[in-house]
Amino acid sequence: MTYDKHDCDLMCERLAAYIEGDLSPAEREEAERHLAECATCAEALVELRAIAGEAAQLPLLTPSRDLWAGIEARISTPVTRLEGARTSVRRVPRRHWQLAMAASALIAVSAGATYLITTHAAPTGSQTVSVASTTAAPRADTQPATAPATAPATAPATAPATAPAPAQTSTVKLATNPTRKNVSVTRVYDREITLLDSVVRTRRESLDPKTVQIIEQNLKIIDRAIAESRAALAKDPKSPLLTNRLDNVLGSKVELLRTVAFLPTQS
Amino acid sequence: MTAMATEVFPIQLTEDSGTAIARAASGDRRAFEHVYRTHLNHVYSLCVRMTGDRTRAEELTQDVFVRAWEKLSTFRGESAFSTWLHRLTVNVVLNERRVEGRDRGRTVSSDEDDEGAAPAGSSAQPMHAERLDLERAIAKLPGGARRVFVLHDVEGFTHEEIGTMLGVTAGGCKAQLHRARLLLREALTR
Repeated sequence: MTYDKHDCDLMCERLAAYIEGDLSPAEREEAERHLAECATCAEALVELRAIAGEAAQLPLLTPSRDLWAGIEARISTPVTRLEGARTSVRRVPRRHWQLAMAASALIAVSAGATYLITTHAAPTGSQTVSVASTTAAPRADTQPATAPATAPATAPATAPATAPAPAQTSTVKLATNPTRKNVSVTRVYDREITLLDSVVRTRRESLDPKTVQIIEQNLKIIDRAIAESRAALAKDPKSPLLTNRLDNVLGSKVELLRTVAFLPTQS
Repeated sequence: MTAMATEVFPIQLTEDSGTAIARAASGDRRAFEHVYRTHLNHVYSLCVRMTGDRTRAEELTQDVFVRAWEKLSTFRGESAFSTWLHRLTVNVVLNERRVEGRDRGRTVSSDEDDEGAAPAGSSAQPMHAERLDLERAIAKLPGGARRVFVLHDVEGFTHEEIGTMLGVTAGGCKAQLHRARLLLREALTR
């Protein structure tokens, strides 16, 4: 029997399945008949098998240079691990009340941020407001530098003022008064810190003691920075540098407390 | 380790491999160097044949051993160390391709990429002429077909294993293998 090009093309396509043993008995029989009678396809089969056989015998190759020096340099570079005991705790599902408290805290933050954005974005051309009640209101950031480290986080919003109140009847442009802005931002931070602090306090027992210890150490450092910033700001209330610094450290405290609020419970 | 490798990088390979691996896993860099020298040519050969580029293969070989150092503590001895390292090598090469593909904004399964790279055979060692031809022909295969051919015909992985590694079906893998063999046949009989 003679085969035309079309038959051989079909056979060529089937060779893969033939080599792999994937043909049905009938197809295999047909393929073997073709291979027995067609020298071209039989030769193709031999060559394809030879390529596979030769590939399996390929010798190992050697790099042109020693690569160890580069590897050693890379594995010798010390890796600094983050301090903390996260590895010692197991992630477990949070309780509903924990999620609810965390959610409340986040809502409070969002609301505060929205308030700040909207009030500062409002047209200010002719708008004047009295800041007397705001500046005269009790403020944690007017506490002396010797205040306890935990004071900013725990001081209630209605605590008595410890610094002399500014002029109670001053009238200022809203958008041009950094003190006013700082008061608002600080209040939002304080409110959030108070909320998160309560979440963290309730979670304290369920956390790994080593983690709690590290958190407390960090909180002390942050609280000290907050107290120092507030003391400096009390002396120079209009300093943008000091205002930013206070914002930054308060933000750091919020960030840390928020992280703790979402830490996994100890196994 | 081949005699040729010891010629190029002379080192006394007297330590038992299992002991060296255990010591390396505990952070002993000297023991890890022993592991490196024992398996260097296997890792490098696989990198060369999968990429078709000796320079890139040298960089990837370094990446493989750095990764092996980092992950050595996870090696439980359930498989042979060479098998573990082999799979790690394939992962590193494929992962590098994925990253490169992302950087170029192209799909990693593209078959027409890295075609026609430098021939794998080089002056580093004498080689039978036919094998040298085969090495060169493999290096010139389209990327997808080359990887399947190397993993199946050179390294001995099954279609299912290759399918898992490359994210293709076993059928797709077989089709690529056949295509690779046909292209090699054409190149070698030209």
